[in-house]
Amino acid sequence: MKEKVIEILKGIRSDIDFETEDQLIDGNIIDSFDVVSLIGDLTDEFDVDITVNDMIPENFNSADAIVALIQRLEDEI
Amino acid sequence: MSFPTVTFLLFVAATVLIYYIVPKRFQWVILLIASYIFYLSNTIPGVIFILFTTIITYLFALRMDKISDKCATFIADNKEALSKDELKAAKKKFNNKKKTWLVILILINLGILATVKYVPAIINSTSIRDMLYPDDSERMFKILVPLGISFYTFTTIGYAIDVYRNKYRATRHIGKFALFVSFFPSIIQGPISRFDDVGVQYNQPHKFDYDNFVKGLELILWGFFKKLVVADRLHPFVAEIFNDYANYDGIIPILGLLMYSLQIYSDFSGCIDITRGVAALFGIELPLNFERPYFARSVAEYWRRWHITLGNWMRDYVFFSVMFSRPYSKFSRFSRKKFGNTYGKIIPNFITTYAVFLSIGIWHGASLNYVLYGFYNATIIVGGMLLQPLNDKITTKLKINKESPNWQFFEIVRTFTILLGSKLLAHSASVVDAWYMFTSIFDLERTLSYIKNRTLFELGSIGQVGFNIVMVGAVVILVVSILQEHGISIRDTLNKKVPLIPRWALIILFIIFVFIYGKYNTGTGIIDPIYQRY
Repeated sequence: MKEKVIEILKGIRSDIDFETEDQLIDGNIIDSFDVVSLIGDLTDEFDVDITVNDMIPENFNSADAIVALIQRLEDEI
Repeated sequence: MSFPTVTFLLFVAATVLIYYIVPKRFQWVILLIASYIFYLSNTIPGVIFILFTTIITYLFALRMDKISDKCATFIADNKEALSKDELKAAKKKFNNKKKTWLVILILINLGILATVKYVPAIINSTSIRDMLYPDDSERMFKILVPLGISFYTFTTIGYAIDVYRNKYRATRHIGKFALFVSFFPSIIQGPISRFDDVGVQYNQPHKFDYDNFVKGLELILWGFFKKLVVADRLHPFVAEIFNDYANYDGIIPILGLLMYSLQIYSDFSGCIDITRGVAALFGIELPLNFERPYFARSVAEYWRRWHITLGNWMRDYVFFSVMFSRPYSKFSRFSRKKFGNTYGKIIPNFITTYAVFLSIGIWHGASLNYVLYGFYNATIIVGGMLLQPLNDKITTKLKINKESPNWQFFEIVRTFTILLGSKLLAHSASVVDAWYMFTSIFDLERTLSYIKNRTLFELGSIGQVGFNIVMVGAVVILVVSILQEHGISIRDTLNKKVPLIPRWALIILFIIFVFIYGKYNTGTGIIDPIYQRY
């Protein structure tokens, strides 16, 4: 799943090492508009419902955090 | 009862006294009674509107909460029996039900707001007015505008959307909810509060806290300084230039705009300081509404520093609602594929930026200048996004250090100058007036005679002394703002580092200063907070 997430992230910003970066939001590397694009892609790819309540920096700061978010949402109905 | 009056201060003092005497579990009751007394002292029929909005929002939120509960029970009961897709489909059905309740509620609340705010403006600017009053060309159609309706409508809609989004549960306590909607310090002009931030504070007992109380008093004093010494003193000067704009050109309209910028900031932020200070006396912390907006380096940043709670409201409830909608998401990805990552990202941004700023414009009023005001701000922000790559190229080529103080100063002045256009649109009676004032800037004939004859201080009868007091006040605000920008809190320094006697001597001197140099009016001459009209 992480590879797929990184592939999606690369589609938004190709110049970042998403394997190691863990300050995507807090470090202003991606902005809220990138996150919206990202949410669209993740929703399509993993068939999960990401809502406004999930729009917190901790959920999008790294590829691992995004994976954790998707896994949590997959368990939820 | 208005903010800058002795009656208001006595009312606050009496409420504070009773608040700390009664058992703590009744403190919210005292605040609720005080809030309704305050409301009734301003408008008696208006209370029907605020009560209606309170009750209907309370009931609809409970209804949405009940649907969420039903949904959770259904999923728990059928987790084994149904497939994941079936459960998801069922959840969607429950959600749609909730959405229906939410949409009806928003339509009712916004419908009331739109009716009282926009219907008179529409009637008076069309031939309907002539049909209503065929024999009286002066008479304007008016309906009651309940006090604080723009603010409490947004507060209640925010609460309902949060409940819809399952951010928190709907409150069962109608009394505390009524207090959240009507809390008297913030009913006139905000800040727009959130239930999970401010509403929950009414559940807690509030012990008298001396340090917090003194900080509240200091904030109130600072607010009165901004309002009475600077804003109200400037009021006649600015009013004269804007009302009699046809008589002034050259530097006078520019001066009028600069002074209006000072007046509106001192008035609005001063009254918010009084609001937050009064709330602090009760141990209630209200959100910040200003963070030295005139130091912003871009118009987008200005909107993160000016009327912060309105900006945040727009972000969370308009911007995010558009951004999370399916059509927007689809369009956003289509745009990226078609135009690449840089411009493909900017194009969908146009839609959300215009949606937010046109909403902000219309929130202020029904006239064309407010629509243009929103359009102007959105266009500047969108233009800034489009020009960003070019701007980066130029600054790199010219080897400009973007973090150098000189460049920062340039950006602050540039932003402030651009914003003067926005202020002109907001404060002129009409777009035609605004345009006339703008073009008259380039006509210098009369300005020279003003400067020669030294009649500048006769504008609005402000007088040279009055003008000098305002300038001293402006310098004090500027110095304090610069210190705050550098992370220095005047109140913390004063309360923690200055010994008791000199500290109180300073505070008392400042009170005397405000008392002597403040501009007071009584009766109908009281200058109400500017944002009260919105």
